[in-house]
Amino acid sequence: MAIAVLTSCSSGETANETLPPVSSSAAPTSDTLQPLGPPDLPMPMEARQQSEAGAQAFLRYYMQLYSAAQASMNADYLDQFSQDCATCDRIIEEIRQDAATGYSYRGGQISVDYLDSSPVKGSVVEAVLSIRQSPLTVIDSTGQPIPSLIFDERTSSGSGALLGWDETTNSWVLNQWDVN
Amino acid sequence: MAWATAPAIADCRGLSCTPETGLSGGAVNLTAGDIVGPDESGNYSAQRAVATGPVLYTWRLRTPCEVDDLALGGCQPGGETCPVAEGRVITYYVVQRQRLVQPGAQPEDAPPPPPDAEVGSAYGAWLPFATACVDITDLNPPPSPDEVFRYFQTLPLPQLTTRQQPPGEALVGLPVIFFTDSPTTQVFTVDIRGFAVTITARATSFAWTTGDGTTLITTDAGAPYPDQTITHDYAAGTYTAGLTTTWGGTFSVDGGAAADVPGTTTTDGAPATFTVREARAVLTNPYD
Repeated sequence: MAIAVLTSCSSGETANETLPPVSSSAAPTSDTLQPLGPPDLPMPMEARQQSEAGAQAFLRYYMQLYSAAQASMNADYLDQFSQDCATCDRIIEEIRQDAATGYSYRGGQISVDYLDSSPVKGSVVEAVLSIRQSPLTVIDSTGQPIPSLIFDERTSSGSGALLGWDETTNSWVLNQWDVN
Repeated sequence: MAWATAPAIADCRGLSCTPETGLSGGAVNLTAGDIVGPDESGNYSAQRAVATGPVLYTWRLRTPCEVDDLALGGCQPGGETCPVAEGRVITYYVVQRQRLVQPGAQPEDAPPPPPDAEVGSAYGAWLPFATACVDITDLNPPPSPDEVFRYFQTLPLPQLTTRQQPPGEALVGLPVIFFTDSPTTQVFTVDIRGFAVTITARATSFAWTTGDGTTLITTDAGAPYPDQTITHDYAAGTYTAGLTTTWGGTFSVDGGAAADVPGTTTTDGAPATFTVREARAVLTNPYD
């Protein structure tokens, strides 16, 4: 049976003496990358591709992380995946200060209604997204809602984001988030 | 106590916070208009109207501090210099622009806007355009803090006079009292490009040169005996003491909210010369 296979291969074509070239943009796999993100919400592999689709997947993931951060009152992963992002810094500071005061959040989950982006230019992607934050109530340390910190649903259509590629972690980083 | 650790953050959370439109420090939003340049010096010009073609962007001119340190607010302005021209307002800005939804196809490099976005509405990120000096005279902006400071430096601020006690000659071992009774607050109303700007100047620091190599720095103007707060001991001799006053201030434009003048200036008052004598004990006959 082995002889029959060799005979078939040798008919007509010459075998390559070298391995096929490996593309430098080959998609990383879960075997080659250190996992990122919280264990119960790891960054999906799709979000770690240096491509337009990867940037969009990352942005969706960041919004999931934001929802999770509000539920856990832990903004460390939002901090890890943003850099020089004023809106991100404000949100992170809100969560951290509220957590330090003993406050917690009820609601405030983020859903992405629309997301598109430009192609990757250099290592930057410009994204446009429409998002929605469900009604949010800040709860004090006794479990009571704080009347001045009860917010209706908020939608933001056509917001913008700039993402940069981080070579060291093979991940996107949110550099700017402008909420319209 | 629980309230001692309450967060010093705004009364909003997450996306409930309004977009960052609280411009300060001379920042400008240019919703209809254009930024053109750079000229041969690398400077830009802001114009009220778009010269030609479709309006592709809305513009925002922000101070470097607003961009770098919006959350924490510890940034110190200054350090960038722009050309000074009579009657022109030229300020150092970070210029950003946001795309406007175009009728039909969007520019090739633009990400598509949401399908329900109205033509002409702004969408997407604020994109960096330039960081440079921008001539914003055409926008007739209210005087910026830096512009007010330039006026502040030219105001005829009081030159506080040095007063000392005892008057005339002083004695070794008897501390000399320094104070000034000149006004330490003065209000000026100036016209800056048609805006009525009220500047309240306040003496914030006093440097008393005692004439013997010592400089006393105080934040109060001192007071005469018996409420004195500033004194100095001398050896015998003749001394000339002087006072340099540092002035800070606040300003308001057309009766609006007051803001700090971003800098200080100094004035030197008329010096005082006096002699300090050594007192010597002399035995006298009280029955003479």
